[in-house]
Amino acid sequence: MLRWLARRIIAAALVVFVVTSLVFVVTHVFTDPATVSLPLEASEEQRDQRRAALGLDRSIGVQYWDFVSGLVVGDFGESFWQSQPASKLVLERLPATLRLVAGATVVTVLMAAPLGMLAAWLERRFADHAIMGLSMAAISAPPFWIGYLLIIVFAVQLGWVPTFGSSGWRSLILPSFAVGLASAGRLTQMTRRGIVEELRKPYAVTAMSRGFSRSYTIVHHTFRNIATSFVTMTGWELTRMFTGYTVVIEVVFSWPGVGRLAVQAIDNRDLILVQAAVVVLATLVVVTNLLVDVARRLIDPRVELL
Amino acid sequence: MNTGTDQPGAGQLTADVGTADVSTADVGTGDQHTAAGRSGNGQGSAGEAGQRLLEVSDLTVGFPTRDGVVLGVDGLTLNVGSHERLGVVGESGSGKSVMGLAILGMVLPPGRIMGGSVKWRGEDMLDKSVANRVRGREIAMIFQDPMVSLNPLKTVGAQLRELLRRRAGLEGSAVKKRSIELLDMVGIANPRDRLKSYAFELSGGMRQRVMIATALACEPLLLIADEPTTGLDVTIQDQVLGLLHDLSTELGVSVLMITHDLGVVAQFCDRVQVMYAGRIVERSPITEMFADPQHPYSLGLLQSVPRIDFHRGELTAIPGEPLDRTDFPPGCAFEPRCREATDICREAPPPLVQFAYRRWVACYNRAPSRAPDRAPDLTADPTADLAAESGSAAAPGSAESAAAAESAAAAESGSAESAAGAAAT
Repeated sequence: MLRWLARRIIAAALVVFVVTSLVFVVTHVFTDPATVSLPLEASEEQRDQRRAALGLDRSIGVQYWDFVSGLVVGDFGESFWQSQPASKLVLERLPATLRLVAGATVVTVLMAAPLGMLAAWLERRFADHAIMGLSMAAISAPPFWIGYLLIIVFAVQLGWVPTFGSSGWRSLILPSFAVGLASAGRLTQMTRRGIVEELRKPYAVTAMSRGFSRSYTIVHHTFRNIATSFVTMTGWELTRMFTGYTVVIEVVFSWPGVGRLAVQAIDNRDLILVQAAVVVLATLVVVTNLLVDVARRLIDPRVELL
Repeated sequence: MNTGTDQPGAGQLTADVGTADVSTADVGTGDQHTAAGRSGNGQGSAGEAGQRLLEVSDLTVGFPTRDGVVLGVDGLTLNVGSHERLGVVGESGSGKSVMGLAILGMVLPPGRIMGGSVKWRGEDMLDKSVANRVRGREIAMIFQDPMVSLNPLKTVGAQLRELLRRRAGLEGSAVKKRSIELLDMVGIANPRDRLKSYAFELSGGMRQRVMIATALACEPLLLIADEPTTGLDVTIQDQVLGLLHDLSTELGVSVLMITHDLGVVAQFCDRVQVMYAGRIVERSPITEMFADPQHPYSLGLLQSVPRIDFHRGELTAIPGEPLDRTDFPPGCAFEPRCREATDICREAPPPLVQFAYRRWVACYNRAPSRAPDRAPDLTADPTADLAAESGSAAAPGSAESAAAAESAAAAESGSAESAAGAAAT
């Protein structure tokens, strides 16, 4: 297990390295941070000055070496927009994003697992159709629209929770739902379908023929057996959250996270800061996948140690 | 068995079987098991024979499809007495497996029970509360594919523990003790270590043994075995069948053996019912069935199986193909494939009629015409005759019946399915 884990960590680090290198290629070879950061009407002289200031006049190999050795010690360069180290800016915002994703994951899992099991239990009955219909709606609706809807209903009309900001756990509720609802919808459908399928498998029929009720069989047998897919899917949803939903929802809710920072950095033509945000988010995705693999291994003894 | 003197046809059987006995002497341990178990059963159950356990009458299970309702089981009637081993034989798709689950009150959706009754010791199994109590406790089922019938993510110990705690009501150290005892009973070496094994760490034969152990956990009175040996190696098949036979004898458990394998029936059962397209076409004690099959389908099944006890020339496949279950003929379901079909066969399904002592057949060309001279006792009602049936079924100690079973068992794993397959090609 430990050797397997070590191998997985090394592999994950490699992926992070490749992703960051790609980010470097995109920002330094295909575009020019100096040009991007200056107004369109800036003169060639001003651009040369900016290039020299950023060290962009050196050879690309040297720049890459600089970039990589900077990464190792957590130095992503200095943001033009904020005139502060980009890593500091991103890391300051990281806890807010992690809180949001954690909240959304809780919403996703706590909705999807019970609702999926309930729908499977009541297969083809009214509640099943209702749950499936609602989850389809949650999947189809764009997250930013869900976000606005939640703000209008729960913050503006009912006044139960703050409309924006990140003060205390109450302000976390709406953004968590806004990020998590689509994921919850997909996972609910997957859970329901998986359990209905499992219930027809011989081991489940056997369990029921031994006198275990349908509900007991669902909770104690079939759910456990779809748990690997459930965890894998949850991992994918986390990936989507990090790279998509949080970005949108942080903007909608003025949530001070990495996603919103990245959007602001783009608005301010701050490629260094964008680069730092992308590297951090990509690392989170890789770490998530690693955790999913570990979880699957713990759940299912048959998962191969590759 | 007294039928030998009652029936002119039975004498011929005895002669055939006598030669078979010699040729099967070296068949193997499985058969020795069987022989021992069989005679033991004869002595043990003679006293309490005739106690009625399961009565299924007119059971009909339907599956709605785009082309209308398909009847998986169509007006099925059967009885199982205590200490009895009844075989239900038929090709794939004849409704055998649906029947097994329906008896437990379980029909997988969208199928549903459309009529008839299942009575367990007088109680209605189609009543949910009765079924919930009986299922797994008084009637347990074992399934055809041991590779997938155990939960892949739970250890053997966990699966037994769950059953013993929640269904058998055991607690504390008794649970583990009983788990080990059960594994020991089904012939698993090092039962204590095996408790920690997952199903995927066991061989097919071991899994089926574990399956049998979980079935026996609550000391059931009836075991429904749905093709228990189908997924296994031939040698393992023999072991598992021998184990089931011994256990049913030792523990006094009745067995309803659902199979397509006539060899299994011959080796294992006291009585047999032949099913075709969800209906029973023939019911008979084992010896008479193999000696003198009545229904053209039963005859076809037997003729498609190679036997080593006498030379019959070529094997014959049943002509035609198994029924398309959505396009049911109005008359006898076997009529389209039957060489002897006449006009009356196309009109209405033939009823199951008793034509001889303990023998019934559903065929217009057999029962009505042959009944008078062949059946000494027609007063008994087919469904109410169980006492008499079990009485004589429980005493198969006589030489010819044991020998007959042996001979048919020796028939090299012939099967109804291979017959149907040959017919299809």
